[in-house]
Amino acid sequence: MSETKERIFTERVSPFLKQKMADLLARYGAADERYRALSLQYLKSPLEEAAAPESNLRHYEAEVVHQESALPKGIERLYRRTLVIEITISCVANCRYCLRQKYDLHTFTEDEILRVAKYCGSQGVREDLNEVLITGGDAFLVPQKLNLLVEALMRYAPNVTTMRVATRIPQQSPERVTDAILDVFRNKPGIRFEVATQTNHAVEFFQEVRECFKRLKEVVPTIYSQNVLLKGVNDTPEALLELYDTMRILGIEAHYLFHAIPLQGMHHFRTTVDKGLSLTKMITSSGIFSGRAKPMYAAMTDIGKIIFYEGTIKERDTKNNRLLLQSCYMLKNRREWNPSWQLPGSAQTDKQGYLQVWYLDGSQ
Amino acid sequence: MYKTRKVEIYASEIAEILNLTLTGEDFIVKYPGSLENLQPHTVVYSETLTPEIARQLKQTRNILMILRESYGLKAEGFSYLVSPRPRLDFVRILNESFVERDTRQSDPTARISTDAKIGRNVVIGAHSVIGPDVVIGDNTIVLNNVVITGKVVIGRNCVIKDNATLGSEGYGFEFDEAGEPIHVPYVGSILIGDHVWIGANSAIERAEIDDTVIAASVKIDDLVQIGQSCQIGEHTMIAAGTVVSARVKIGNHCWLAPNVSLKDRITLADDVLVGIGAVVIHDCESHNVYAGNPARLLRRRTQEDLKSV
Repeated sequence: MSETKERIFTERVSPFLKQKMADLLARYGAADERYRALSLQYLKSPLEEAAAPESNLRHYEAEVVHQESALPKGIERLYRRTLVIEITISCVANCRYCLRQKYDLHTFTEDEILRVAKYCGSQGVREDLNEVLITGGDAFLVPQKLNLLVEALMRYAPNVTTMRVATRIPQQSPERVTDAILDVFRNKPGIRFEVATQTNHAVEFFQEVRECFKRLKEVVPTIYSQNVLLKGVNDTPEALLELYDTMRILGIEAHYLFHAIPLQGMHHFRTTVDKGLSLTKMITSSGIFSGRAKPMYAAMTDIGKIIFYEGTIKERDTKNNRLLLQSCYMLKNRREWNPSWQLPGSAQTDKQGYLQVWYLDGSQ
Repeated sequence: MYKTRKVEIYASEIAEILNLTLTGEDFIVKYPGSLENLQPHTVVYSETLTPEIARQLKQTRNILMILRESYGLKAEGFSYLVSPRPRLDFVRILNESFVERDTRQSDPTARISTDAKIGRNVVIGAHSVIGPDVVIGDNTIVLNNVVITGKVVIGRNCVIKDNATLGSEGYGFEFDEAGEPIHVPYVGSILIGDHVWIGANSAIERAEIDDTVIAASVKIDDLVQIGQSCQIGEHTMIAAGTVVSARVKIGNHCWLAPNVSLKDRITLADDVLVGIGAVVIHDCESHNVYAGNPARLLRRRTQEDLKSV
């Protein structure tokens, strides 16, 4: 057994972001919303070390363990049609609220990439699987490996016809989006590519970032952003309206607005779930903003994401500040798609066999 | 074939991409560098560490060194990564972060037969000629002035360098009753696997009847002649100036040093190493080193041979 040690999540800010933060600080001062939107996301805070109820080290456990394929770590499956492939856990800048900050650092080797691709096309997997989310870390960090993975999937897993690639490099180091990355998406007939990104405040769309997304959209027409509701960064109607407005102008689709996950060191970022609900109502149903840019408000729970609809919150445990959330996931399906999946201690099944999970709320 | 990427990348990022551990400070790396000319903000590699290199490292700040072992070094002013294969990891990070493939489209001066089957992302350089019976696999790069004619099938991810000639008529003549040499028509195919490299000015002769087979990951240097109906096994390396006569069989993982000559119809088994300038006129057995003119068995091949090559 190898000894496991806790990963120290270092502060890493890309030179591009460092320069932008310095410019904002010099121009507007430390109290300015735009500077704070970046500094809170990237600069290490002593609040991360403060005692808090949030104790999870991971967002969920869905690692696929498959002895025959000798799969490397970094393959997760919660859903029938989709597999998550973490090609590298490294990034050019470390977001302080990263949900994979405690994961072991690893970048796939060429051999591991081929094994993963062959697994995706293997009997018993290929029947259901038709989509992969290639993420990390940041998948754009290793363009050559990314291209190798895409080519290998095309060769060994023709059942995979949709590939989503997740990145924040356009916002963090737009100069790195060169032909090495654009070529990954060029001339791959039969594959639908989508780029998944994450933007939490409109200030992140600097001119260089906008130009970068323009280059990217020439090869991948569909770019969507999921955003995290972060206290002090975007937890106002104004900040969210500006964010979704800018995304719409740039042709970036709104996907999930995530309630900040109950991860260790995240307490200071976490609003209440209700605040998120109220903000979502305001930006989607108040008539002051176009419905064309509506995000889906969701929580990343121990059993995967749960979108908030009417009836999602089944119970409130005010003493422990937690909510029982109803999902439409079924335990038997989970084990069918990923036999190594274990029901977490926070989850239970209802009478119909659907999963429910206790979710730690944030604070005002 | 490559163009450089201008990136500013943390030393710790390089460590993470290579799955290695960074010792020393984290700083921005801007370029790949060399030991002969140490510059700040570069990544370099060294298989060994001499006192001279150690002294230079301490004088130049912000160097990221990839080393085979730590040699008890204190990372002062520089940082290091310990790797079992320093040069390999250096090449990997070069490919991943500091260069990218030149993605220019096929040159308009290239003459590509409309009957040729060309795969995805194939680039064909200026003044190259691709015949009607040619098949080229995905992502293969054909540089300038290359001529590919006859029945030639090239795999994926190959590189055919400038002025190479594949499938040109073979040098086969039969003398008639009057002593006149009559050319023998060559009708065979050339089959080239994936990830094959064919150097500049090299020639792969068209096969008379039986196919010429160059298996996956064979790397052929510049100025090499491969005669008709040869078979070359996977991962074999053939250095510049080598002449492989007709119907030679070369096994997997062989290594031919520069200027080797192989007599026709001989067989080299797997893992054979042939020294520089050797003239090989007999079969060679597996795992041996041969050298000289005519080539003789020198000794068994060792792991050290691989390193020194």
